[in-house]
Amino acid sequence: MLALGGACACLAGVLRRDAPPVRPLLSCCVVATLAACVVAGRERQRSRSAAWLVSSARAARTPLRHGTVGWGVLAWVALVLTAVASDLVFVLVVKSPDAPTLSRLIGAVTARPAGRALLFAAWLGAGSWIALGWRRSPP
Amino acid sequence: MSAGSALWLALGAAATLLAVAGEARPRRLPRVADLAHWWMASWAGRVALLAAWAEAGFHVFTQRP
Repeated sequence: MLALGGACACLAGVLRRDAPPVRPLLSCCVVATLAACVVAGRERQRSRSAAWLVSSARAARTPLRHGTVGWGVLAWVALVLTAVASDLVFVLVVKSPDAPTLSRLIGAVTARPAGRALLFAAWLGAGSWIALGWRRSPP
Repeated sequence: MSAGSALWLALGAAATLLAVAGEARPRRLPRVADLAHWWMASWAGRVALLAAWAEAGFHVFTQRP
């Protein structure tokens, strides 16, 4: 699996953004990750979705009841919202070709094949961790 | 340095500070892994995370900046 992921990352590094194989490559990676998530995760989730949704909604209504942990979560939420809002302002309001949008910042990394390949490998690694990580032991 | 670049630097510094603080005081502040694990606890959260991951991938690797 590591070798396959490495090969995909190398291929993504070599291909241009608008090359025809890029979308099928990405689609295959997404489908394979989803399939691995379903196969590896049967009866191994730590919580049921309904219970998780209810407890999350309850925690979101009163975040400060959880002490400094609640403050920490609020800080992360504020950080993410600020980043999203800033990018939207740069894209929709400033509209300058020199505006430092997230796309431009990331584009500086993906402009080079090595940067593109490394970022693709990191993206695959993150997807694998989300799909396979943090599960109960097999029944 | 432009104001926009300074803003991104400040956001990056704040994120790094929060992440380091969370690792240093795991019982008082949430770690990045704890936040991800909260999403990954159920199928609903995990699928939502994967959808965001897939969308980010298509946006970064196929769209022109």
